Amino acid sequence: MCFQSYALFPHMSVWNNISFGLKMQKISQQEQKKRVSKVMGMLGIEGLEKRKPGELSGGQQQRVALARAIVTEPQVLLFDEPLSNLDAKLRVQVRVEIREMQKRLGITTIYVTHDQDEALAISDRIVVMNRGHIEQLGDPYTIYRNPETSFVAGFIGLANIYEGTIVARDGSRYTVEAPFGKVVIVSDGQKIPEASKTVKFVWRPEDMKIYTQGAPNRVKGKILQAVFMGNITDIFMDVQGNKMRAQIDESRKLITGDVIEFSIPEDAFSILRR
Amino acid sequence: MASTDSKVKIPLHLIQARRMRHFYLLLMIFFMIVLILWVGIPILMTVMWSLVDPKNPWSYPNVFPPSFSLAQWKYVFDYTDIRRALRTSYSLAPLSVLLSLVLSLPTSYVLGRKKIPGKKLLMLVVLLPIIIPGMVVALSLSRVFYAFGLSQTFFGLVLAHTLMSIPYMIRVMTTSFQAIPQDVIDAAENLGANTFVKIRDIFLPMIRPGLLAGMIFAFTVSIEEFNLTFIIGTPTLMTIPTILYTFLGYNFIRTNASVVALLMMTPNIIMLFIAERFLKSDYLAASLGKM
Amino acid sequence: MKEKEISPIDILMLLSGVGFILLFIGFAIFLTLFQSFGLFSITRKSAFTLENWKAVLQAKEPMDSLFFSLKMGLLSSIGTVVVAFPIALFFRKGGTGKGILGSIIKVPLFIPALVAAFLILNLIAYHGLVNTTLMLLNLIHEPLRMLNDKFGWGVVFIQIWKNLPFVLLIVMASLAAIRDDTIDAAKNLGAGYWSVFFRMYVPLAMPGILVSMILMFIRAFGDFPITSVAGPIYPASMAVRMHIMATVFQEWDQAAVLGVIIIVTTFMVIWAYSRLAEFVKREV
Repeated sequence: MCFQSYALFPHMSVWNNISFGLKMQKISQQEQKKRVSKVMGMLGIEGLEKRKPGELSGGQQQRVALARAIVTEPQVLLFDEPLSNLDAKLRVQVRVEIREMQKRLGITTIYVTHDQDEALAISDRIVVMNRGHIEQLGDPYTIYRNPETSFVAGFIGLANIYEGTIVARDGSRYTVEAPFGKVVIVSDGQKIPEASKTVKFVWRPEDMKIYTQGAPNRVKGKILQAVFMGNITDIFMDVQGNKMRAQIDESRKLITGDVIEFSIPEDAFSILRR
Repeated sequence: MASTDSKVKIPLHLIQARRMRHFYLLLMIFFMIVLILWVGIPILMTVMWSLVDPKNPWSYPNVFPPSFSLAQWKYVFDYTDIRRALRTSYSLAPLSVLLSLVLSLPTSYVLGRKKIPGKKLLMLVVLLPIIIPGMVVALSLSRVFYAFGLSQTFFGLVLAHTLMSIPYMIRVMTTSFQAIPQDVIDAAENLGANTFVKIRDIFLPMIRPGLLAGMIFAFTVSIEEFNLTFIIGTPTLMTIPTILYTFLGYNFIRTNASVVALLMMTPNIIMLFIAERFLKSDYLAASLGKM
Repeated sequence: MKEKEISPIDILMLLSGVGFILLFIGFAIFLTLFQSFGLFSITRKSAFTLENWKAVLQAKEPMDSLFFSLKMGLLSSIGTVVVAFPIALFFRKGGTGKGILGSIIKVPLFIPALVAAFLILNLIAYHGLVNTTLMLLNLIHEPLRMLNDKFGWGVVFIQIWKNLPFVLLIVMASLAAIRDDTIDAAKNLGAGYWSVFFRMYVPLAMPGILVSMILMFIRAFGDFPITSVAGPIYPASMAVRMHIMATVFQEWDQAAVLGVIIIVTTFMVIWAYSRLAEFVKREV
């Protein structure tokens, strides 16, 4: 197991930390030496054998913790938010290394994190949990594009979540009366029961496009705040009294008070169970 | 698909966890009993000895004294020097506390907040009175006192008691002073506080817990002080510890000794509970020698 | 915390506390030292001499006393730590009930040495409670001599009783500094109960263990009240012998020799401790 706080043994050298598990399994000294050296080489921490944890940087400690966990060749590896104590840049770098190593060694790994970027970036499957209950299980793509609950929708990625009444159905096309106007939703394979009068749905701010003639689901809003973030502009707007968020990648100069029109593609929506 | 089990199967690790908890609970209870006996029985014995009826002496094979009476207490108060000893003890203590407070405050301030070369050595020097075994200090100091006419004097004893309590005072107060964040003082200065205001409104309130802890320690040290008081004070001045010693030596009267022992213990234990309730145990640990 | 630079006034302030101590202790130490060599003698003419040292080092009785005191120091410190350590461990895991239990266990701390000696004396005296109970239970046929015995068990027992809370507090503080996930990590890697005990708890609590052992050794080595009440008539502990030498035999100079030996042993123990602490830090 790899701990969030690394939990390295403060009174032992790096070498003794890493070899501890092997010592407990009564593996021979020779074999210990072989495995520890190999793992240290794999993680790029050779030369630190005699140092104590207190003399290492955060990133080095992280790698030692990692080495200690994998040197015992476990069947299952558990990571408990291992990167939360590293700075942002290091976090991105190390998570890639962890993923590569995991694939190379082929160890089944359970990785706990509340950083959604991390989750999306390194998993084969994601389990989204809320207060001890599983909200949704699926691969990253499905979790992101087809969230099943409002929690998952809001937790992974940004979301505009609304509830509306169904005014018309046409196969998998639903016309819904939402608080901010009428929208047409093309269901993503989810069947809405015949009896349902209302539906809860979500779409991602980045799916909204600047309105051009003929585009579906026209939405007109007054800008409350437009935040220029370099590669995207984050727009918070008010649509007939409803809060909505959009993200566009044009570097338009927008100011509070401007009126702006968007279009939401019909298949950008996800139907939410709850 | 109906299940044939009528009960839900409890996972093994939960059963094990429950067993662990029961085990610990049992251990805790056993431990508590042992503890109460360990501490309680000696004290109880002494209480019983002090209440022995002189008309029915308590001896083997009785496990309890045959009858109780307050005769021993009366005897000790009426026929021994205990009243004098009490007076001496309880007038020495406040004075030595005061003196060690006055002497310790400036030193602790400097040790706690200023950069001093050889601070480690200084801290060791501060501890010297408690490191060097008491009897050695007592015997050699008695010669010094004798030369200066301080032997067998009240003032001499005050000095001696102060010497023994200063180390604790300084340690506790230094920790207190150290704990005051510099930003708070800077903020005060920034808002226009002069030295007097700083002392009154910042330093004193913030070191108050440590101050109280130190004073309680100094008081206890003085009340319990034996070695120096024995050598320097006896026979002119008696304190509770020295009078107890006389009852333990030549004329060993168990009952008298019991009374005096209880008299010595009780204020201490009361102080223990006061200290426990109002102070944090970090001060206890700090002054007991975090070297 | 940024410490401010020192100024002349500060030196003065330091002097009030440190100076007071240095004055008296310094006087005491130097006087003892000089008197051991015959200078500043109060009983005879002052002259430098090694007579006193010879008298002490070559005689059997003083050496027996030294050995006895060392024995007391060693047994008391080891005994208390051995008893305190499991209790401290238990408290670390148990946690609950700390309030009342904690208070009760601290009681001997606040009982002066002399009183503690007396309290236990009542129990382990020849006709005391322990002997009576053991005889009633037919475990022994004759009372045990636990007090004033030649070996000094009475003294050791009293020292342990009185100083247990003291050592317990220090060791508990040391153990509290050990993080839970360090222990979890060890267990996760397959460490069994004994491995956790010897490879984790003991090394990590070593600073506290060492400190309490040193302090206890010094206390037990140089103790006067407990040993004079509950110790054997022969050999007397160093402090008791020193006292008798000075006040009964008026051999202040020889007493001074004993005093120097006590002081030197104390400092040697402290020095050994600091060396040991360094070593422990670097090892493992």
